[in-house]
Order: sequence, then C-alpha cells, then structure tokens
Amino acid sequence: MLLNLTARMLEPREREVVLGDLAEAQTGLLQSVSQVLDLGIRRHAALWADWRPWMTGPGLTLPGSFLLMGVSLSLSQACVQVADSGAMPAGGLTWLFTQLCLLLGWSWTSGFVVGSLSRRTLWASIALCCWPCFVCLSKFHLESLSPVCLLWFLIPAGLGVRQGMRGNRISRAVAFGIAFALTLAMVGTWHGNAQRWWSPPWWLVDALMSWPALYLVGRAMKSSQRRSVC
Amino acid sequence: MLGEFEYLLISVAARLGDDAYGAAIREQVEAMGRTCSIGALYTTVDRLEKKGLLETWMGEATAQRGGRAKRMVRVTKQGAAAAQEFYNSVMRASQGVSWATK
Repeated sequence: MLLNLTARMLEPREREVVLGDLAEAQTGLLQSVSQVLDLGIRRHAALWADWRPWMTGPGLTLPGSFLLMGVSLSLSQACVQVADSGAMPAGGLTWLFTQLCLLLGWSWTSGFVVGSLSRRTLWASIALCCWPCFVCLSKFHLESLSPVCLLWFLIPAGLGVRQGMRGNRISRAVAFGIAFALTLAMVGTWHGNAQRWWSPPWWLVDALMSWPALYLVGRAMKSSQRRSVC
Repeated sequence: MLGEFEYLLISVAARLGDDAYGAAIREQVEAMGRTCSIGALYTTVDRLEKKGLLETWMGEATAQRGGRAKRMVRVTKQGAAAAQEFYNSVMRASQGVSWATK
C-alpha cells in the first residue's frame, strides 16, 4: 500500500519496471519505499531543468493569479453595483463586457498554456495559484462582497488546464480571435481608468497578458503547418 | 567522455548481453562492491540512452517479478566505442603509477 502510493510519483511504465525490480531483488518495504522515493525525487527535480515549469509556474500562474483576482473583484463589484442601484460603472456596458472577456479569455488561455506546457509539474502550478488565493482571501474585508468573488477566474482556468492537458487542437482562426480579443480587452482595461485598488505597471501586465495568447497562436500555426505537410 | 558510473553500467550491460535489464545490472554492480540505487541506475540509463550509447525496450513479465515487465538494455555500437575510449584513457593514465603495477 505504502509502496504503491510512493510509486505513483513515477510514470506508469517506469512504475511497473521499478516495482518488478524490487520484487525480484526481494527488497524490504522501507528500503523499497526509499528507493522509489529517491528515483521519484530525481525525476521531478530533472523536470525543473527545463524552462517550461518555470515559465508556467513562477512566470505565469503566480502573477496571473493576483491579476485575475483583481479582474474577478472589479467585475463582481460592478455587477453588485448594477444589481443594487442600477447604476452602470464608469466605462458603461463596454467596460463590463471588456472585463468579462478579459476574465474568461485570459483565465482560459493561461490554464490551457499551463496544462499543455507543464503536465507533470501541474502540482507546482496549482500550489503557486493557491498561495495568492489564500493570501488574498485572508486579507479580504469587503462587506458587500463574498470572498468567493475573488476566485471566479478558477472556473475558466480549470477548463483551460483540462483542455491543455488533453492536447486539444486550437484552430488558427480561434487562436488569432482569442489573442486579438485579449489584446483589445487588455488595452481597454490597463490603459483606461478602470483599475481601483491595484495598479501594476502597464508593461508588466502587457507582457504577462501577451505571452500565453502568443503561445496559443504559435501552437495553432505549428499544428496547422503539420497538418498541411501530412 | 563517459563518467565512471556510466562506464560501469555499459560494461555490465555488455557482459550480461541479452539478459541485461535493470535488476540484473544492479545486482552485478553491487556484487562489485559498489552501491547502486534504482534512482542512480535508471537516471544514468536514461542519460546514456539519450546520448545514443544504450537502447532500452520493455521485456517480458515474469512471476518472479510479480508479473511486472522488465526494462531490457542493449549497448549500441557508439556505446561500445565510448566504453573502449574510456578504458584506453584509464589504461594510458595508469601506466607507471604505483597502484597499477602492484
């Protein structure tokens, strides 16, 4: 039981081989667990020699979670304002629509990129997403809003991760459409006066916003090129 | 140029021939008085396979292994050449030294 649980750190094929080797050598339980743990740690450490987990974890998930919580919050505040008093936010319906596009598009795109680029280090990306969520939830003190409104972005992000992990193909038109819509929404949001309690430098937000969408476009172009070669 | 442990693995795999697989290689290496963890074994096998010095494939399952498959290992021509080069270098470097003449 303990050995099988530890062996789950390994890929199924390697798990089979290693458990077979240990059975053949009649290795004791504790020694077997430590051997499997040693290999599992080596395998997971090796994954971090690549650029992908760094790009998707500390490079996207961590800062992205803070920014997306900001978008979730400003959208929720605007919705509550509309529901309570019927008064539209400063940018009107266009701003509201832009925020919604940004929240859905950016969360989904970021999730897709995380799912497709770093499947085996997904646990690290999840941890790096949870940490800012817990920090913000512990400091959230708005009576008019439930703390859950910070976490709306997790739903599209989760769907994106799932599709990214499945290796779903994105057509060129869809990828360009998403990138274009995100860029428009981003320009409308960061360069307007829509931000309230958080205002990161625009170039940082631009960079964080752009690369997942550009990745999506690049991936779609690559797969359409492959298809045309076949 | 190979590392010492890489040379050891290639030599043992070459000696075992068609019977070279993880557990057998590990047993032989440990019989030489050298500790060989499963982690060190398979990460080194992977590295050598990436360099084209070893080939691996999934072998048959046996009852002795609880019905689990083996990872078979074969030394490639490049692997044999790299091991030869390592051996020659060690032999050249050892000429005339006190421990080699004992």
